[in-house]
Amino acid sequence: MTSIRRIALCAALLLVGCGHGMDGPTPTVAKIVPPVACNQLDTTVVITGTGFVPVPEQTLQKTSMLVLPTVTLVDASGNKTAIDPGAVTWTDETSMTVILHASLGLAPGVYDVVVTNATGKSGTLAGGLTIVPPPTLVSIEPTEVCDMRTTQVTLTGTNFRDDPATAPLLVTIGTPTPTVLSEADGAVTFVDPQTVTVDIPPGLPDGIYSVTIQNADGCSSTLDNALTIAPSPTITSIAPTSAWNGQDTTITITGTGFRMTPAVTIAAAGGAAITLAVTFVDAQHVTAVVPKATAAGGYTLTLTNPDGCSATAMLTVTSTPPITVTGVINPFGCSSDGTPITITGTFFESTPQAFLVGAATGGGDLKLVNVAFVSSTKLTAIVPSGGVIGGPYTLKVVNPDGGIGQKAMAFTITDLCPPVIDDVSPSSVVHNYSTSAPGATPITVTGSNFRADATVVLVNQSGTEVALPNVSVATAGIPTKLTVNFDASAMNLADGIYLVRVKEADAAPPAGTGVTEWGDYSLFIVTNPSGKFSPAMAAKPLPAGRRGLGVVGGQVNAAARFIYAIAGDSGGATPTLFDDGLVAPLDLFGNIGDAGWLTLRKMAANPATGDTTNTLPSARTGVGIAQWNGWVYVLGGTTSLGAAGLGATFTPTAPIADVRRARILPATEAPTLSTAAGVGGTLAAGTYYYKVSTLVTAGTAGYGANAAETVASDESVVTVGATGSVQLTFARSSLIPAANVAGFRIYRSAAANGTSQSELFLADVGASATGYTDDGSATPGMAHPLGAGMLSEWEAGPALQVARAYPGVTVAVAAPAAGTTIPYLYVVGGASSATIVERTYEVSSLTSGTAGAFGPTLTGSNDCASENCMATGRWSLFTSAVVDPPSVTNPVTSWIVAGAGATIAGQNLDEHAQITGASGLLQAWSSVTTDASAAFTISPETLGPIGFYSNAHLAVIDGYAGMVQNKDEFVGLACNGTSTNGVCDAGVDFKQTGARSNSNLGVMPPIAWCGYAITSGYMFIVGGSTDGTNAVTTVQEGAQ
Amino acid sequence: MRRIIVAAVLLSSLAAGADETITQAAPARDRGQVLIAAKLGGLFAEPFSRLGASYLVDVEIGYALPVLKHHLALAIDGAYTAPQASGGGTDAQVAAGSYSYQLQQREGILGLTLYYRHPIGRVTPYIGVGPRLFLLQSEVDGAAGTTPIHTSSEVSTKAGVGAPLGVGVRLGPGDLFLEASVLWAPIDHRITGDSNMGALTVSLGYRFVL
Repeated sequence: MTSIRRIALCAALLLVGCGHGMDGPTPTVAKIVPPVACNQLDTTVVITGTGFVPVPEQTLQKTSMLVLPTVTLVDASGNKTAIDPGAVTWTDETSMTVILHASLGLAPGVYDVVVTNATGKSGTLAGGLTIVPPPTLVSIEPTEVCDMRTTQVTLTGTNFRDDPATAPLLVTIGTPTPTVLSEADGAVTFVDPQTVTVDIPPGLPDGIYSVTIQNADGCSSTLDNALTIAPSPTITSIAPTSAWNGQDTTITITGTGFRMTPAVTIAAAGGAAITLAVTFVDAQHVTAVVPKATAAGGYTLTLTNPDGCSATAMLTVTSTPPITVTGVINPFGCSSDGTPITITGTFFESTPQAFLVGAATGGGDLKLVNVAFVSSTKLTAIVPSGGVIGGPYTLKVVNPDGGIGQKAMAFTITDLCPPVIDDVSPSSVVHNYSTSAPGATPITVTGSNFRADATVVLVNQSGTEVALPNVSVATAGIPTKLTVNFDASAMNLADGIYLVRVKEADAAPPAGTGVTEWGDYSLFIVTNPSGKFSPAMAAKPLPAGRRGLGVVGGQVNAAARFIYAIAGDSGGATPTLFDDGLVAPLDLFGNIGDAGWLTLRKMAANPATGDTTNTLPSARTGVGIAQWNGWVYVLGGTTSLGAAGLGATFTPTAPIADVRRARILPATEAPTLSTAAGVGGTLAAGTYYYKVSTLVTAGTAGYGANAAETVASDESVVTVGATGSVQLTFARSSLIPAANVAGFRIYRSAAANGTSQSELFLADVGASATGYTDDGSATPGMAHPLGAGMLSEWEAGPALQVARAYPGVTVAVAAPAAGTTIPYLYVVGGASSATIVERTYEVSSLTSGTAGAFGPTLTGSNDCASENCMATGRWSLFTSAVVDPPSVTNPVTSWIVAGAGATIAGQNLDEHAQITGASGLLQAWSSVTTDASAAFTISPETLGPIGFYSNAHLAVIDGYAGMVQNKDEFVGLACNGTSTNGVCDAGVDFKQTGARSNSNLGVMPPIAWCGYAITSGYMFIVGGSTDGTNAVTTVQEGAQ
Repeated sequence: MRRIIVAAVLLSSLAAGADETITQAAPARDRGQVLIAAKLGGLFAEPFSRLGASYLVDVEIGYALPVLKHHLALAIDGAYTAPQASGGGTDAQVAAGSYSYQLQQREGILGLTLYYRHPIGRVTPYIGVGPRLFLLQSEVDGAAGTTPIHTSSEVSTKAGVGAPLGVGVRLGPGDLFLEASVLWAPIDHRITGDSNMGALTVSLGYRFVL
C-alpha cells in the first residue's frame, strides 16, 4: 500500500507540476542586411534566419491577434533595446524586416540581434548589427570652382564610410536641380573616414551651393554655402595695352569673373611664364605689375582664378613708354605763383595725375593741380606755387590705369616770374620792316614781369626762334611795357605767323636758377610787301556744304579769335536755305583749331534734353556780313531762290532789307567758379569738370531781347577721392549788373574721369545763389555750356532802306582829320528783286559801337537822285575799303571799291568812291586808274568772286561767269599823288601800279559765292560752289 | 494553490480508500462494488466558447460504496477530447496583410465523481458531481497569405468541475448507459485568450459492476 500511495502521490504531483508553458520552433538568426546602420536615420534592415514563427493569440476571443517574433538589440554591455513591434514586418518564417528608428538613440557600436518568438524561444546573431554615427562634413577645399572645367575638391570631416557593396558614397551639390555625384561613377573617391575627394564636373550653374555627403548607410551631412560655382574669367581689356619695360608697370586687367585672388602670368611664345604681382580690385578688375626689364615683345597674359579657370589676352611689353610726355608749355614758372601749363604727349587717359619729381618742399613730388584732360595728347594743369626753386624737374604723368610717362628736365621753378605779354602793337609788319624807316613805329609790347635784361625774338610755326636783327629793347624802367626797335630791311624776314617771345633770365643762384624764361604772344604777322598770300591750304571743312554764306572773323580778346560762317544755302536744284551759323575757334597761330566748326548756340530752352541753336529769324542766303567792335552783322540776303537769271544759275526771288546783329559773347562776363571736394553725397570718386554760367534777364544789353546766358566760367577741375560731393562757389562777373542776373546754370562732366570741356547741364540755381553742392543726386542733362566765341541771340539791327540780296559789305575807317577816325558800315549794290540789281549803297556809322540807321535816305530802289550811284548795278559783287592804314596823325582819304557783279555786258570796270563827310557818304564812283591812266579792269566780269584789298593790293579771285572761273587777278595800288609816310595825302586818289599778277592764293578748286574773310593773318575761303549750283564744305586758308 | 488543494483531496481520498481496503480484510463486511466503465461520445463546446464539437473518450473506475445499498459511488475517470477552432484576421505587420489560424485545443480531463445511483429494476439512473483536472494543450498553426505559420503550442492544467447525469440498463455483467455531463474549466492561454473549456458531453458506455 505504501507503494500505491507513493505512486498516487507522485501522479498527483506530476499533474500539479504540469505548469503553464508555450512551445514552438526555436528561431535562428543567420544574417542582418545591411549589417551596418546609421543612428541618424530610420534604417530598414532585413533579418534572415529560421523559425521566425508568429503565434496567433486570443483565438477564442472575438478578435484574434498575431504575435510576431520580437527583435532585441543587445550591446556589448548587455543593455537591451527592444524594437517596437510596429517597426517589425514579418515576411515569412525565414525573414523579417525591421526599421531601426533614429529615435531609438542607439549608440554607435556592435549589437547582438535577438529574435524571440511569442513562445519565448529565441535566436541570437552575435555581433549581427553595427550601429554607426552619421558623417560630419566640416570643410571643402577649394571652396570655389569654375563652371568650365572639372575640378577636384576635397571634403574633410568625420565618419565618412566607404561601403560600395551596400551603396556608393554620394556627394550632392545643391544646384537648383541637385547634382548627385556618385562613387559608383568614379566622381567620388573615398580616401579615409576623414577625407573624400569629389570631381566637380563642368557645366554647373553659377552660384553658391550646399554640399552633402551621404554614406552608404544613408546618413548624410550638409555644409551650407560650401561651394561656389563661379563663371570662368574673361578678359575684355588690358590697360595700358602695352607695358613699358623701363619701369615696373602696373596694368589693369578688366573683365568678368575674377575671383580673389587670381594668378596672373605672362609668357612669350615658347617662353617660361612670368608670374606677376597681383592685386585683386573686384570681380571686374585686377591689377598686376609687369616687372621692369621684362623683355620687349608679345606675351600671352593668363589670368587664372583660384578655381583653376583662366582667361588669356595679349600684352605687349615694349621698350617705348606707352605714355609719352613730349612737351610742356611753358617749361618754367615762378615759385611764388601758380603757373598754367599745357602738357603734350601721347596716350593720356582721363584724368591723369601729374607731378614734378622732387619739386616739393622736402624733396617729394610736387603734384600739379587742376589737371584737365583735353585729349589723349594734351593736358592742361597748374603748377602750384610753393615749389622748390630749381630744376629743370622731371614731369611725370600717371594715367588712371597706372601707366606712367615722364619727361626729364621738363619744368623749371624759377625765383622770378616769367614775363607775360598782353599785347603787341603793331601786330603786323612787312618782312623788311624797319622801325627807323619814315613813318614806321617801334613795336610796343605790353604785359608784366618785364625786366631790364628782356630780349625779344619771334618764333615761327615750327617753334624755331627767329632773331630780329639790330634789336634794341627798352623797358624804360616800366615793368609792363617794352619798346622794341629793329631793322629787318636787309633780312627779308620770312612771311608768316609768328609768336612774339620776351626772354629774361631768372635770378642767379642761390636765389634763382639763372635759366632763361620767357613769355609768348600770338599773333604777329610778317607779310610780304607785295601783299601776296601763301598758297591756300585745306583747313577744317564745314559740316555741310554752304554757298551764299557770310564769313567774318572776330575776337573777344587778343588770344581768343574766331571765324564765323552764317546763313547760306545748300545749293542744288532746290536749295535749302539756312538760318543757323557756325563758329570755328582759331588756335595760337590763327589756324582753325582742332574743335573745327561748331554750331552757334544760345541758352538752351530745355537744358535737360539738349542744346538750342542760335538761329536767325528766317533762313536766308546771299547775305552780307561784317564784324565791328565785337558785333557780327548779317545784312540783307534773300529768303528764297529761283531759277537761273541775272547771269547766275539762280535768282534771289525774295531779297530782304533785314539786318540782324549778335554780339560775340565776351569771356569777361562769365562768372567765376571755384570747386572743392566735400564729404557726404553719392558722387562717385574721380575727377570732375565743372562750369557755371550766369543767366541774365530778358533785354539785358548785349544779350538780345530774351532771357539769355553768358559764356560759362573757366573750367574748374576737382577730384573726389572717395564717394562724396563737390561744393561749387561762384559769383557773377561785375560786368553783369546784379539786377540782370536771373540765376546760374551749373554744368558738369557726365561721369567721373571724363574729358575736359565735356560738361553738361546739371542744375539751375537762383540769382541769389553763391554756391551749389553736387552730391551726385542730380543727373546731367544734354545741354552744353556756351563757350567762348558764341554769339548772343540775334537781334534786329537798323534795317536797310532797300532789300539787297548778295550785296557788297565792308567796314571802312575814315580819318578825315588828324586825331579822328570814324568807322562806317557800307552795304553796296545787291539784287533788290529777282530782276533788279542795285546801283545804290547804304552806309551806317559805327561810332556809337553799333550800327545806326542807314543813309543816305533813299526813296526806293536805284534812287540815284538821292546819292551817287555806281555806274552799273552790281550783285554778287565784292566791296572793300581802301584805307592803308588809317592814320591818326594825318588826315587821310579812304575809299570804297566795288568790283565784279555787273550784269551789263562790258561793264566790267571796278569802281571806287571816296568817303567824304561825317556821315560816310561817298563821292562819285569812278574807275581806278592805271599808271597809263587806263581803267583798272578784271576779266572777265564774274559773279560771287573773292575780292579784297589788302596790303596795298587789290585782288579778285574766281567767281562765276557762265562757269566758275579759275582767276587770280592781283594788282598793286599806289598813291596817285602826294603821300606822307607812305600814306596818300588827303584827297589823293590811288592807282594801279605794277603789272597784274596773281595773289598766290591759288584757290583750288575754283570757287564762287563762297564766304571769305581776312582774319588772324589768314585769308579763309569757306564753302561756296564749284560749279555755280552745288555747295561745298571745303575751307581753305592762305597766310597773308 | 488551487492545484494543491485538489491534489490533497485526491490523495486523501486514495489514502482513505487504502485504509478501507486494509480494514476489509474482515470478510463479514459488505465490500461494495467496483465499477469499471468506458465511454465514447461527443463533446460540444459551442455553448461556452468558440471551440467546436469533438469526440470524447473516457474510462472510469469507481467504487460503489457499501452503504446505502450501494447507491453512492465514487469514481475517477480520465477523458480525452480535442475540440478545434479556426479564424483569422488582418495584420499590417505581416507581409501578406492577413493571416488565418487553426487551433486544436487538446484536453485531458481527470475527474473524481461522487455518484448517486438509484437502481430501479434493471434501470439505474444516476447523477454525479465532482471536480475535474483539465490537462490543456493549445496547438495553433496557420498561414499568412500563402506563407505557412508553423505550430506553436501552449500547455497548462486547470481545475474544473463536471456533473454527469445518466441512466444505465442492466445488460450482462454490467450496465449499458447513456450519459450526459457538463464540464467546465477556465483557460487563460495566450493562444486562446481568457476563455473556458466548458462543454456538454453525450456519451454511451458500458460499466462493469464487479
